[in-house]
Amino acid sequence: MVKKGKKQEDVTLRAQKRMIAAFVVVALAFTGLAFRIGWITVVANEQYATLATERQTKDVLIPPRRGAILDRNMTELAVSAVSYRLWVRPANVASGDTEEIKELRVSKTVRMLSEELEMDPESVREMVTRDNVMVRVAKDMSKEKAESIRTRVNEEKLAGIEIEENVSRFYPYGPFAAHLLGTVNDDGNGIGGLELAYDTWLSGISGRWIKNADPKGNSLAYGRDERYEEQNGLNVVLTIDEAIQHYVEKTLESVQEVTAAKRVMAVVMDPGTGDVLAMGMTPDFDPNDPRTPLDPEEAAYVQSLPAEEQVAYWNGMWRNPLISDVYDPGSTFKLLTVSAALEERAATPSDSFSCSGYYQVGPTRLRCWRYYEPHGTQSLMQAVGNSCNPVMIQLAQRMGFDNFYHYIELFGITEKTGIDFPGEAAALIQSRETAGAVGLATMAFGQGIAVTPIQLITAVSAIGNGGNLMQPRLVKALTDSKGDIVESFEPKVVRQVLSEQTAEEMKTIMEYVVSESGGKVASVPGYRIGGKTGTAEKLYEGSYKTGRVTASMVAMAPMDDPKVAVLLIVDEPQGTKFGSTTAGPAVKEVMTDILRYLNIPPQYTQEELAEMQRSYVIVPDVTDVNYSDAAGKLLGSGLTYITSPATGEDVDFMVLDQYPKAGAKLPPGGQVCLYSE
Amino acid sequence: MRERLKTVTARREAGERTARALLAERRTRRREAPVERYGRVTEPVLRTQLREGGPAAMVRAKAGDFLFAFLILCLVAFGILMVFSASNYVALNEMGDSYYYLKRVAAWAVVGFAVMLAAALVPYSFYRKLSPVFLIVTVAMLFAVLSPLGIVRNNASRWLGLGENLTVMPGEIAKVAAILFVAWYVSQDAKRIRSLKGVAFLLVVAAALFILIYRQPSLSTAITVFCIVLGMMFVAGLKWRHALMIAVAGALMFFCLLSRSADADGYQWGRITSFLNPFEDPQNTGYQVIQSLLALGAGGFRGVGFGKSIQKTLYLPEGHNDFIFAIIGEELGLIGCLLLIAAYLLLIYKSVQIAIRAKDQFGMLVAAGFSIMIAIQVIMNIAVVTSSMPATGVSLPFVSYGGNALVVYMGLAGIVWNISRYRYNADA
Repeated sequence: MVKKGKKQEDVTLRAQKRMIAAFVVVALAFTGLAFRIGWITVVANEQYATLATERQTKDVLIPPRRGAILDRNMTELAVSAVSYRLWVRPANVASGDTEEIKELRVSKTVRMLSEELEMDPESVREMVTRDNVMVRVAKDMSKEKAESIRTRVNEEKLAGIEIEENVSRFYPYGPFAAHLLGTVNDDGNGIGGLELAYDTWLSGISGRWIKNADPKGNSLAYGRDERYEEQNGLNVVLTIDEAIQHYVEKTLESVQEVTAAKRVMAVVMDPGTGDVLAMGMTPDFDPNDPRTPLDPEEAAYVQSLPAEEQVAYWNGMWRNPLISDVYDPGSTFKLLTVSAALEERAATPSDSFSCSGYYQVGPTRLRCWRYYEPHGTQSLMQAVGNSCNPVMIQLAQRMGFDNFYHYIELFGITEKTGIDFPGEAAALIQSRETAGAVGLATMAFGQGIAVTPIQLITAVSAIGNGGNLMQPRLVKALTDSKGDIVESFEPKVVRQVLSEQTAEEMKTIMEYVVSESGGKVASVPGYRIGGKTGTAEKLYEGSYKTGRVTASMVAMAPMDDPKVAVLLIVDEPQGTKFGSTTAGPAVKEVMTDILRYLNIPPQYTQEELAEMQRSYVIVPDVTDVNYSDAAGKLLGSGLTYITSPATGEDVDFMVLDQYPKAGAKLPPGGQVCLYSE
Repeated sequence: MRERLKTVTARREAGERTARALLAERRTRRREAPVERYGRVTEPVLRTQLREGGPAAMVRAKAGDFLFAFLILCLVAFGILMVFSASNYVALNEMGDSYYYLKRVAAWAVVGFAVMLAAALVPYSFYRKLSPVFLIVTVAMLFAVLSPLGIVRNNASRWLGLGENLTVMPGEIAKVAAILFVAWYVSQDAKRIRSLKGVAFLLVVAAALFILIYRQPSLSTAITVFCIVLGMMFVAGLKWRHALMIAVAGALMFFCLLSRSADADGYQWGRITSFLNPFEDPQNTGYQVIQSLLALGAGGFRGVGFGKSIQKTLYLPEGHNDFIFAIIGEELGLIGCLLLIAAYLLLIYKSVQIAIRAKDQFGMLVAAGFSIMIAIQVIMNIAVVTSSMPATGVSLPFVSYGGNALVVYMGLAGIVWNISRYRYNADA
């Protein structure tokens, strides 16, 4: 008994000892784990916490809104808009275990989408059940629409519907001032034109949203939530006037049609400030779809090109030749030669010169363009009107190399104008050392020198504003999204080139050219217009004799106080090739429109009045009348009309305004603009 | 310590005495030796007996070990909270109801509490006779699970049941069955555990259970059951010689299995050791452990706050289940982890104490088995979560989501609670 008890006691004791031992082992293991946890949570936690933060947060870039490009009257030429696209994933729409559930989900989705998007249920069903991974059901949805669809998706527990946000650049006028505005790439960054030049200001600064999210990217209701506001881009206010640009483009198109030229381009400047009021060329492109030429044949051709050539083609198409290309100014350059000669007192307007059809420069005989019927004795003013080459040679020779080159430099021909536009080209000028006497002589009448159109009009504008060379500019201010001006740019005088007196003398000469002489085709009754035409033979495959010319005209008005200067260049016109016959009528058309638009009152001479009294048409009142009625009324009065913005013939609308107003007088066939908005 | 153990043991051996006599003895002892303050009862003390002034009225008999039961309930309550916090995001995403897991865990906790109370009210000697039957039923269930009757989820057949919602996990029941069986087998005859035959028999039973559960497959449960049996054998008095033999045999088997499953470039070994640097294999086995470490690391010393875990938002799979400790670490920080570990250690201490003070060897071994089960699961769970051992799915007892495990553990806890009622109670 005692022995058994002893034994029992031993057994129990051993068990108890072993339990205590086991407990000690367990306690040690717990302690070890506690230290391990301590190590992870406190000592080594930084790397884990950093990794966790990296994985748990999503860093969303909030794109800023790109600023708008506005014309000088705040008309929007380029705007950024957020639009929404709706995609469905057919496989997810029809999720469910049984066919009935799938069908129920599909029909719920179809009903919702056809109601919200106002689409035909059958076509929605076709898209929703298509055998694709994703199908785009709608694009360009408004924010409100996107929101209401999102709400309904949540309420009705629909699946497989995705709404994608898109910031797109929109050019409301389509192919309008496209070479000037340039375009943006898919990321919304400017890749050409003013979009590129002012990209820094237009693009703004991205905001960021740092937020805790689950692995699928769903934001959590708690945790880190930091928001850095985005800064929207600034609006760029151009010196361009939408109306003037419109007139210019309209004229360019008709010139293009009449002359079948390679291209036609024009720039309009305010001589007083150097503001570019319009700048355009044909062929144009639509910046909304910059990679597709407007001409369907060309578009198909581009499609067929290999990728590299496509890029080259696009770059060529987007290039703005008025700033980035040089051209042969021809006789228009004579204005600068004469100005320099007058300023240097090498001649006066009334000095008499003679033309024998050619001029001997050393061993070279340089012909006047009318060598077959020499101009004979003429005053300097007449010589400009006649565009007489020998007289120009004489002027240059009187001034000498140094003075001639000095004035070319003063007129800003030797350097870039510094206009705020990317890719400005520099003029091609024979160097002082190698030009020689013949080089000087030919340059004097505008051959053997190539300048950019913007250089020439800037130089000629100096004549119009009393002798100051202005810095040409395209942008006059930057405004914030509320429209307040953030920065405004003032017109900048580069230097005085001519004295007031010389400028006055030159204006008289220019006016003479248009009113009495070679530029008469551009005269507009009631306005004092000055100008000069030019026809330059183009160097083509090493020869000047191919018949390819650059015909151009530069003009200013009104000459008592010039408000507008126009340079219009017809590159390689077919048929008649003279500046006076191709560019001249176009300049007249543009000038007529612009002067009227600028409300510069015409002052008619007695003859002009008499001439016009015979053929005035009083503009009828067509405001608040249907388009079709208005058109009939105008055509009945012997007037023509255009609509703004351009609409198709079959679209009827209410005419909200007209220009000119009712009661104004127009010559027969004059144009009335009908505004639909 | 030794002296005190001897005293307790002596008490247990003292045989039948009346409560009155005990009281008299205690009075005397108090006078003589104020340090000594143990009393003794042979039957559970019930309120009726106290009211009637029965024998139990003379001892400070409580309804068992209160702290033990209290700890269990605290852990269960804490578990409900943490399961809710860790699961609400997942539940909303996968079930469309944030409270999906909360509702279930709360319902299971109610069932578990009822089972625990019931178990605590039934004298534990009742289970003693049933132990072999219970084991046979369990083995039958384990076979059933492997048959087409088993419900397969996630490529594992671990469930038996009627329909989707009411299922039982024979693997969990096997833990209790093993504990009761070993306790019964050893306490039937003290010689058994000291003899090679008895040891071999127990090992065969353990191996059978291991293989049956392993085939489900549920390696972690199989290991847990096997370790519980080994641990109980050790506590019961396994000879050191036998223990050494088991250790050597185990090591040999381990390496055999390893070399058999390893392919030419020792990939298996790489998988086993990948826990040392989970970042080397972030896509597969390392993924969950990495997410777990990130949760703990993000929690830091103080945690991100209750309910504010981010790793639970679909980053950490099984965040409410086997990896709930990581979410606890993230939300409550090192402080929360240490408090929880301390609670578990205290619970194990209490159950070891119950084992030591148990009336007989059966009770002692059941309580010891319970302690071993809790210790093994807690250690393995935390070791996996902290990437201190190869990843395997072990739940954190009373805290992890899992209705079957909760009810089974609470039921066993009820039995242990009952065992504590048959011991001497402390006066103060």
